[in-house]
Amino acid sequence: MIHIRLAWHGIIHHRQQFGPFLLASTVLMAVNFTFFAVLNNTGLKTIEMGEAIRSVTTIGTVFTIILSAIFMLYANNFLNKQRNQDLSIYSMLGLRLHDLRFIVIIEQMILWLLTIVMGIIAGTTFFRLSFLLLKHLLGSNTLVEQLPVRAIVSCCILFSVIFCCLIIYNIYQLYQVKPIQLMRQSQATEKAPKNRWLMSWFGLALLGTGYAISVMTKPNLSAILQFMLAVVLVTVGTYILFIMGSITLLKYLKSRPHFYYRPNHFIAVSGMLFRMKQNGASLASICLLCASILVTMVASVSLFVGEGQLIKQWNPLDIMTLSQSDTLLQHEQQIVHLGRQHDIKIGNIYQASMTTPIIGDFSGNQYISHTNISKGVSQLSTMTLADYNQIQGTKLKLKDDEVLVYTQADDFHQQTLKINGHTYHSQTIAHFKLAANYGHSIFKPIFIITANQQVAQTINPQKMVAR
Amino acid sequence: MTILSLQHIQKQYDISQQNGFLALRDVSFNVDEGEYVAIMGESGAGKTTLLNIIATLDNATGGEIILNNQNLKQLSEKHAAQFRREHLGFVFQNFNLLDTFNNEENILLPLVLDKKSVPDMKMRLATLAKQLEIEGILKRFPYEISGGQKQRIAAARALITQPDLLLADEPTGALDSHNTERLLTIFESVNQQGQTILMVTHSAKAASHAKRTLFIKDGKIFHEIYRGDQSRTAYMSKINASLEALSNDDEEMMQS
Ligand SMILES: Nc1ncnc2c1ncn2[C@@H]1O[C@H](COP(=O)(O)OP(=O)(O)OP(=O)(O)O)[C@@H](O)[C@H]1O
Ligand SMILES: [Mg+2]
Repeated sequence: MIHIRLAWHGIIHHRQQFGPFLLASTVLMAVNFTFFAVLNNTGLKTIEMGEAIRSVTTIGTVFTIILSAIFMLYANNFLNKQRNQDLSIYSMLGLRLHDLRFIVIIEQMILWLLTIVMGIIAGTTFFRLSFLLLKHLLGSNTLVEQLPVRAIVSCCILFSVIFCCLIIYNIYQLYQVKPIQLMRQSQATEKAPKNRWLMSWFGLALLGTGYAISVMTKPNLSAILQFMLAVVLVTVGTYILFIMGSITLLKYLKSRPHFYYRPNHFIAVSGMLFRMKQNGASLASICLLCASILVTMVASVSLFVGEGQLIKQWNPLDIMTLSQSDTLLQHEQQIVHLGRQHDIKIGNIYQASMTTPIIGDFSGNQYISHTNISKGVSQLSTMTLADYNQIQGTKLKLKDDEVLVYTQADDFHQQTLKINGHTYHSQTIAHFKLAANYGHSIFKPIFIITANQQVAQTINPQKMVAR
Repeated sequence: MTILSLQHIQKQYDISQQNGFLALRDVSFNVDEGEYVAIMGESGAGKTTLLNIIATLDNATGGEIILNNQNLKQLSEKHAAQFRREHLGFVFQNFNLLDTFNNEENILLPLVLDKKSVPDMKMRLATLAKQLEIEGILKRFPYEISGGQKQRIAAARALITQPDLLLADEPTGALDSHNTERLLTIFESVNQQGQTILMVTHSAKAASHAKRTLFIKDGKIFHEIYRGDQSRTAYMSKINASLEALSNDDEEMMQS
C-alpha cells in the first residue's frame, strides 16, 4: 500500500526528527512503566510501610503521567512542521485529504508500536534496576520482583491514549495543510505567537494555588491528597506559564516602545519570542524535573539529618513497654530477667500512667479535638503530677485548675489552656523524660500534667500505662 | 480547441469579514490547447491568486472556470485532488521537492501515486531525463544539487504525467540568468511538442518565450499581446513597454 510506504519512508528518512521523538517517548514509557510496576507489586502491599511507599509512588505516577502527556504533545510539534510540508506536496501531487489522513494515522501507529516495544524493553530493564535499589534501601527480603504484566497493560493503555490524542491533534492540524500555502510561499515563515493574557493569568493562578496549598497544608493524614492536588496544579500551572506566560510577558515588553527599541532589548526580545514559542514546554519540563530533584534531595537530606532526632523522639529510653492493663510488674520482671541473662545492668525505671492520646490541634489557647483524625496534627495525652514528679525527680505542686504543658516543638506559651470546655492555668515545661511518640505516628505529641487523676480524666477519659 | 476558459472570475479574500479584500474583480480569458501563456503584473496584482484558482487549490467567489470540459466549481475536495493528479502539473518558485526522496523518486512520485506500471514509468523518465539534461543527477537527493537543477527536476515531475496544463508560478524567480535561460528553453521545446503552459512571471525575458502575454492590474486583465512572428527581442521590448504603461497607468499608449 502506497500509504504505508509513504509513512514508513517519511519516518526512515526524517530519522533526525523521528529518532529523538522515539527516544523521548521510549524513556517516558520506561519511567511510567517503572512507576506502574512499583504500584502493582503485591509484595509491597504486605511489607511494613508499603502503603506509604505506594502513596508516595502514586504522586510520582500522577506527576510523570502529566509530564509525559505534555511532553509527547510538544515533541510531536517538532515533527509537525516537516510533516506538513511533505503532506502539502503530496496533496499538490493529487493525494486526497482522505489519503493524507491515512498516512498520518499509519505514521502514528508505527511510532506507537515502536514506542510500546522499545518502552517495554527499556522499562523492564529500568524497573529491575530500580527495584533492586528499592530492595536494598528497604533491606527487605520479602519483596519479590514480579513480571509486571499489569504494569505493561496500564502503560500500554496510557500510551495508546496519548497516541490517540496525537492522532486526533495531527488530523486536526491536517486541515491547515493546504498546498495553496506552497504557492503562497508562506511556509518558511512561522507565525508570530499569539498573546494570551487570560491563559497566562490562569497559569499563574494555578501555580499560586498549588504553592499556597503546599505551604498551608498541615502535616496530617489527609495531607497526601492535598499534596497530590498541589503537584498537579503546579505542574499544569508551570507549563501554561512557561508556554503562554512567557510569550505574554515578552509581548508586553514589546508593546513598550521605550523599552523595546533599544539595540540589545530589540534583538533579545524578538528572538526570545520565537524561541520561547518553540521551547516553552521543554523549559517547563526542565524546571519541573529540577524542582522534583530538589524536593527529593531536601527530603532525603532532612531524613538523613533528622534520623537521630527521630529515633530519640520515638524511643527516648532503651526499653519501653506499653500496656492497657496492669501487667507492668510482669514486664518489669521480664526485663530484669533478660538483663541478667545478657549481663546488662538495668538503669532507672520510670513508670507512669497516661491517657490514650486525643488527636487534635491547638488554636490559640484552645485545644480542639478532631473526630476525623485525618485532620489532626497533634496527639494529646494527660498524666498526673505524682507520676511526673517521680519521673523527673521534682517536687512540684499544682492546684486543680493548674496544668503543666509539654510540647515537643516548645510552641505553646499561653497562660491559660482551654480544653473540653474547662480553662486551666497553664505553665510550659521544657523537658520531659518520657516525651515519646510511642505510636511512631505522624502526630506531634503533647503532654498535659494535671494535679490528680480526676482532672486528668476530665481532660481525657481514657487510660494507658507507660514505662 | 479551448482547454481553459475563465469567465468573470472574482475572488474575494476574507469574505465573511467587513474588510474583505477583492483580489480578482473580473477576469476572463481562454487558453487553447498547445498555447504558451505568460501572466504578468505588479506584485499583489492577483497573479498567484488566479493561478491557485486554476490549479483547483482555491475557489473563486464568482464567475465560471472550465478546465478540460470540467467546471471546477462543481469539483469536491476528493475529486479536485484526483483532477490535479490527472490533468495538472505544477512548477513553483521554490521547487517544493521532497528531501526524503532522491531526484528520480521525486519525479516518479506522481506516477506512483497514480499506480502506473513500472516499465511505463521508466520509459517516460528516460525520455524526460534526456530532454531536461538531468540524467546524471537522478540518483542524488534534492539537497545535493543546485537550484537550477532542482527546478529542472521539479519540471520533470510536473511533466511526467503529461498534464493537460502545466502551471508555473514564477518558476525562474530563484534562478540565475543562465539557469533561467535553460529552463525557458525547456519550456519552449515542450510547448512545441504540444504541452500547454500557463506561467506567472515577473521577468519580461521569461514572458518573451511565451506565445502570448496577459497583463493583470487591479484584479482585471488589463492588456494582452501576442508574439506572432516577431523576433524575441522585438517581442520583449514590446512587453517592457506594456509593463511600463501598466505601472504608469497610461491607457493611451496601450492603444498604439
Ligand atoms: N490568504 C489571503 N488572505 C487575504 N488576502 C490575500 C491572501 N492571499 C493574497 N491576498 C491578497 O491578494 C492580493 C493578490 O495576491 P497575490 O498573491 O495573488 O499577488 P501576486 O500577484 O501573486 O503578487 P506577487 O507578484 O508578489 O507574487 C494581494 O493584495 C494580497 O495581499
Ligand atoms: Mg505571487
